[in-house]
Amino acid sequence: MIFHTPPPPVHELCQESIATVGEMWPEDSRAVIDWAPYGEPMVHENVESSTSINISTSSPWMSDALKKVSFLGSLDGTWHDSDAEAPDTVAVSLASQVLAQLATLGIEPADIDASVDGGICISFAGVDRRSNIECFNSGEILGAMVAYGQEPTIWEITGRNLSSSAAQIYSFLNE
Amino acid sequence: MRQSPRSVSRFKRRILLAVFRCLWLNSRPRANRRCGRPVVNRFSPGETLWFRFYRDDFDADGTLKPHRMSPPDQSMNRQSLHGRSWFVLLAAPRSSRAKRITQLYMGIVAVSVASLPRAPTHLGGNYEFRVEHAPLDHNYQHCEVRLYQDGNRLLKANKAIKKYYREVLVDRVSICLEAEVSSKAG
Repeated sequence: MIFHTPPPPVHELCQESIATVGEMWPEDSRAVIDWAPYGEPMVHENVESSTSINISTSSPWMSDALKKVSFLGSLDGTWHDSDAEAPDTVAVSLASQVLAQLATLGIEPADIDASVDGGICISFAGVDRRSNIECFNSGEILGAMVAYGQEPTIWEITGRNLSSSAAQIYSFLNE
Repeated sequence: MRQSPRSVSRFKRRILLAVFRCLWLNSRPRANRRCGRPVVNRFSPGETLWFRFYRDDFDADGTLKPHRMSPPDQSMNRQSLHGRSWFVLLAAPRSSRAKRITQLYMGIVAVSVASLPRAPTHLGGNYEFRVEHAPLDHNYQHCEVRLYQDGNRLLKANKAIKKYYREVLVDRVSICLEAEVSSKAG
């Protein structure tokens, strides 16, 4: 999967109160990620964006979260002892979209961190339970919900179920 | 068994002295070198396995972050065959000086063989995690937790299976030695 033009740095998105990802890309190289059911997402170029996501910085934590995502995107391959892949532009883009969705639902992440499996992990904490959404460089997104002492629930998140997945995490953490 | 802060500190001092000695002499202890010894794939359920971690691999509440756990094939060192926990802090030969020193200040986490995740039942596909002895010339006690499907080893695992492994394992580990150094993302 090749991006001819990488998405703008996330800190630029923070300057706008509401910025549309598609609008901030150069007109001639606009790309839209179409969410494949599983595996690598397909990227269509020069497609009029109908699925572009609004990045709202109205939530007080959003600006810091986007800065952290941008920082994680700047890590190199030596960031961790296990020779783990550093998060790339795909993971940064997906994490920004997930954060935008979380902001609309008012769900504040407890932590945003790089994953040793190559990507960015957005974590949430509840009482005796935790949850996370991991955005991988491969374009996959996986969610996990774990109540202590029980088997974890893991599922795939796509563009279609992102909103319902975020809502599911919210209700799980507040059970 | 819970150790008092004083005994933890003494334990830590002993480990650091042993590791510094190896670093100074630029050699690994004889017990850690393979020296022609065979592969021993017999693990008792109570056997301890160790691996190293950074300070920021843990949350503020002291929980290991699942996304910072290496997925299968995860490297660990075993207790039997004269293994010591601090062997995991010794860098591989020909590692850079920076890596050797950084690794020295990492922490040690322990998990028992019986506590390792076994099979993710709800994900289907007859997957199974197995710990196997994978000795290296410079690290005889080196083991790997490997993923099998229908008895065949998988070299490239599905991310959901790897995530299951990491999510289960984090709740079953205990800290042997606190880390003094953070990763670059910390």
